[in-house]
Amino acid sequence: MNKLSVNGIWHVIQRNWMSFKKLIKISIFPNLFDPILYLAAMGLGIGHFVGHIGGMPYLNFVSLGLVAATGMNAANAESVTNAYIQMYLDKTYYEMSTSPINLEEIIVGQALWAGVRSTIFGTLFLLVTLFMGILQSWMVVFIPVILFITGTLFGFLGLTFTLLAPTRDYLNYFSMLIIQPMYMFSNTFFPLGSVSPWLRNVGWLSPLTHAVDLIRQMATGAVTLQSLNDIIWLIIVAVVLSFVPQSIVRSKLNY
Amino acid sequence: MVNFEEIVLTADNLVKQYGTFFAVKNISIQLKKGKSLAILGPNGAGKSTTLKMIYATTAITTGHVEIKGIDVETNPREAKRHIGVVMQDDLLDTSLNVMENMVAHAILFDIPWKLAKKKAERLLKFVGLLNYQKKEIYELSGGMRRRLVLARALVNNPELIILDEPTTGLDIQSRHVFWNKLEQLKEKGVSILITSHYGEEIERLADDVMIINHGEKIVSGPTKLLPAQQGYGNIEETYLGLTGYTKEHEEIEQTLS
Ligand SMILES: Nc1ncnc2c1ncn2[C@@H]1O[C@H](COP(=O)(O)OP(=O)(O)O)[C@@H](O)[C@H]1O
Ligand SMILES: [Mg+2]
Repeated sequence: MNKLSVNGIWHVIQRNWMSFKKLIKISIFPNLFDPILYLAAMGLGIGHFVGHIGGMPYLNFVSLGLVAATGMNAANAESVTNAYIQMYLDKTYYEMSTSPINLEEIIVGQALWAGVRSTIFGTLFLLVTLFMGILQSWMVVFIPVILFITGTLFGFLGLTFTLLAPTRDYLNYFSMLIIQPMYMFSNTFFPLGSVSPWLRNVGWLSPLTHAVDLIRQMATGAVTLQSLNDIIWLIIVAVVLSFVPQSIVRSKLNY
Repeated sequence: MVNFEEIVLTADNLVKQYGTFFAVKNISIQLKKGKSLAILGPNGAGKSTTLKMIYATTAITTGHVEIKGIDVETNPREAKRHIGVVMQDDLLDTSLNVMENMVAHAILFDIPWKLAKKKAERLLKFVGLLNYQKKEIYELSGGMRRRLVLARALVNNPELIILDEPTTGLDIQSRHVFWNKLEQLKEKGVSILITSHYGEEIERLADDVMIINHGEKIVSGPTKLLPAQQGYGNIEETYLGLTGYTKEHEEIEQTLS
């Protein structure tokens, strides 16, 4: 595997920022529309019948789950749809690789950028919950960090699938069969453990579950030793996942 | 002073294999400072693949490339600092405008933003696009896009510029403007490696020419002498003659069309 240069990775992030800052205004709405819709349907609608869950009003429960889910979706859009365009249609990766930067640095930079996007949109949604008066602890200041780690993890995951996808249609399968179920079944809308211990174990495998739990704990100040476990889980999985797209990028992108 | 004896590019016995197919077979190139070499060959001859091995975006199956004495395989990062690449496709970022495309590429070479912008202004002026710096990519004509790609390839002050069919598809005026820019660069001591389909382009720009087909070199030599050596009147005739395009083909095509 080729050596990574911190400078190289940083330039990839800078370059993504250049494109992004032109589009930020028009991308806020699509990124926040989805969670707000869920918030209305689940939090207000179902919340009307549910009452309290996990020691908090259902509306609060759902909105905090949606903070993490929003981050994941933003990272996924970046590392799947946008990355596909940059890899195969605009061939931005090819153009960039004529500079001193190599493909592995582009992959890592792109995943970290997915982390940045997750942070931006997750935090924007967090502000929505702030106005709703849900946040109860100063520890919310750490939520963007969790969003960043989670987004980077999903960045590496999404990039892996984008590199492996034989055609563009497979990207839809990834979003439909992996991301969408995670969105629904990661303690986002209901605590898996109270349905069945079996489901709790399945949920444990979803990175989003750990992010959702962490964000709820931070928002309510209920941070425990378990929180540390969740953080370590996310970091280890992100690091392990980072090797996959790096090791296949050269054989897959045959420019 | 420019040392015109300095060797900028050495490529030894380049081979590229895709599965069982050999796209490039034993191509060797040497290019001195301020000199230019054109690779001429029909579609699929292996021109792009040869260039990609030199500018280090595709793996070399066997062979060896050095740019200013730097091994492209073991130290691609350093080698790529010395070259500018004009790829066969424009590959401009349509989400960025003209100036932003320049800066986006410059920062990849560790050039700080402010300096990148200054350099970009100078280069856009050089290619006649300074007044278009705020324009979006879709607003540019084909010739302007190619000149922008040329300007972008120059942000790192490369000693070698590698161009893959840079004027294919351009109208005659745009082509002449582009050639003029390349001539100016050459006078400044920039070495040029170019692929082309056009005899006229090669006669105007290239000191030496190499004709390839099916991944192999057929002949090479000084552009001015090669046609006579091979018994032809000019480069185009030499090329057509040596790649098997005879008068007969021409007649058949005329009958067909
Ligand atoms: N990534 C690839 N995989 C397999 N074959 C390829 C690949 N790229 C190019 N080739 C083949 O190698 C040959 C040379 O291609 P290329 O260098 O692009 O030719 P040219 O630039 O002279 O038109 C062609 O037959 C082409 O189909
Ligand atoms: Mg080609």
